[in-house]
Amino acid sequence: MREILVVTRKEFREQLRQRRDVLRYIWFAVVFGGLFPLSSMGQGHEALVVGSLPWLAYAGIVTASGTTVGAFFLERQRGTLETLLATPLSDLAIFAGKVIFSLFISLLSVFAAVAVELLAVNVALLAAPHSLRGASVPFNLPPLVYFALFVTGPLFLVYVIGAGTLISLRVRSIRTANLLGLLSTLPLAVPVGLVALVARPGLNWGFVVALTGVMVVVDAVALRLALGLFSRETVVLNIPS
Amino acid sequence: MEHPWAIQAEGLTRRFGAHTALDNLSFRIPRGTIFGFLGPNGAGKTTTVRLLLGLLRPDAGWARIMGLPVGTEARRLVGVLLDRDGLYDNLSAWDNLDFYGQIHRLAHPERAKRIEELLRFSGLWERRSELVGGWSKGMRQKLALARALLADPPLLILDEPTAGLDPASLKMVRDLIVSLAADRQRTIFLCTHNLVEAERMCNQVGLIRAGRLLLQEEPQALRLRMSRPQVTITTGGLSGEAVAAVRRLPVVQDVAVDGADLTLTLREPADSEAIVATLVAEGVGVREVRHATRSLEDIYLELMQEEG
Repeated sequence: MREILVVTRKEFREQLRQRRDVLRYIWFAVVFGGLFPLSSMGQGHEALVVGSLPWLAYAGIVTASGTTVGAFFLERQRGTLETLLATPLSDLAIFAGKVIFSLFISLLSVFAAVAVELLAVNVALLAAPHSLRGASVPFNLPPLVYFALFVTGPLFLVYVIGAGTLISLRVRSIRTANLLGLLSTLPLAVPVGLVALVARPGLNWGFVVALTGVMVVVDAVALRLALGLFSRETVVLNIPS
Repeated sequence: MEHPWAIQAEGLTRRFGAHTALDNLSFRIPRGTIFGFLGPNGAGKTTTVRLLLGLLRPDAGWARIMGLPVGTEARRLVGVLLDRDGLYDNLSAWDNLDFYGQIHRLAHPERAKRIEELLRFSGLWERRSELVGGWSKGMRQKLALARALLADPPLLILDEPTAGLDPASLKMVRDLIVSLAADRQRTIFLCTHNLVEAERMCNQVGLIRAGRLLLQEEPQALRLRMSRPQVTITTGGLSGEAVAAVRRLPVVQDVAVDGADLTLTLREPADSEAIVATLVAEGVGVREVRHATRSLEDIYLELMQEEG
């Protein structure tokens, strides 16, 4: 565990120095947490709550895709991963350290998006009290949404990170890595869309719990595949130019 | 009891598809040796290093580091500088070393002390807080070398450690490598193209070509074995009779005349007194006698040509 945290801390130190990436994640929070939910305020409280869920989740998903490519592909490309693999760290410690980092940053992105949404909607309600039918200040999201975002959501993020790892260990250019990373998130639109469509106008616990179970299986497969591919030999033989 | 061999490799073979990168490579390197691993590009040096570090698996054969099979425990005993320096551009010099110090489980006060010591020694202390992304090749190389030394490992695997260094840093690094081996019994596995450097620093050299180890020997012994002794004599002027008289000497195999210079290839190392006496008897004035030895570079080039 100590070794995993050493890797995770290093990833955080690196990330904090990359201001452009930090600004991008803030931008995701503003767009997915503020602009998109505000655009559906006219449809009422319930519609806003259900409709904003996919957007909030997507803030984490695009962040997870970006951080995974950075943590695996760029380190392969710069030759730092080969030196890291020549240390006593185990494959699992390196892999898990990076996955934990990506997961934490992505969850932070979801937190930020939720905060932006709460702030934006409450400000809008203060400015125009009848702009959101069925809601009043202070506006808050129901517990089920928090459960979906912070219990089921991380399972989606783990899938994205697992898929991003698989891609980052195979491809030879950053553009391909980014493109495939984003494309790999598209299948997630299916369960997310189902949540929005089937459960509308109200989310129900049964559906969210069932979705959580499905995602546990999907994650197990994605992580098993990613970890199976993350070996010293695979990394060394596929160093991109 | 300490294991006598820093590195043992036996029958190491590695193929990439139809290409055999390493072919039955066997060698042993005693502790405290500076071993120069020489060979042209694509000879198998990098593959050998990767096999020794467990970054690749051999198709056949095995290797041991300080008696341990290649793997996590063996990697604890190795400091590494690969062909790419492996530094994190977005971390400061201090953070780069601190990260590797944590990996090697150096406790905090000891770690900080060691990092300071190495940064001061490398002349990088004043710039410890800078991100290394903008650093010159030479500064990065010094920092990467400091990283390899951080845990004070008994074995260092260094790929071109002096590449990109200015003359002062070059001397510093060479002196450091020599003193690590001589004073502290550290073993250095040095991949290099710089044959002058190898000749100057290494106790042993290994020549690899097309995945096969051609030889492993001390540079001096190699020079003696591979060189036919030569003597060049500068005279005041040569006559045909004098050259013929020298040619008749049993020890002389070949004679080359270049103006007043006479270059003799001898059948075996011999004293030049008899040769000089013969010349003087023929009325030739002898001004200078030089015994020539071939450099490691000459031998390397000859071997590579033969093998090619």
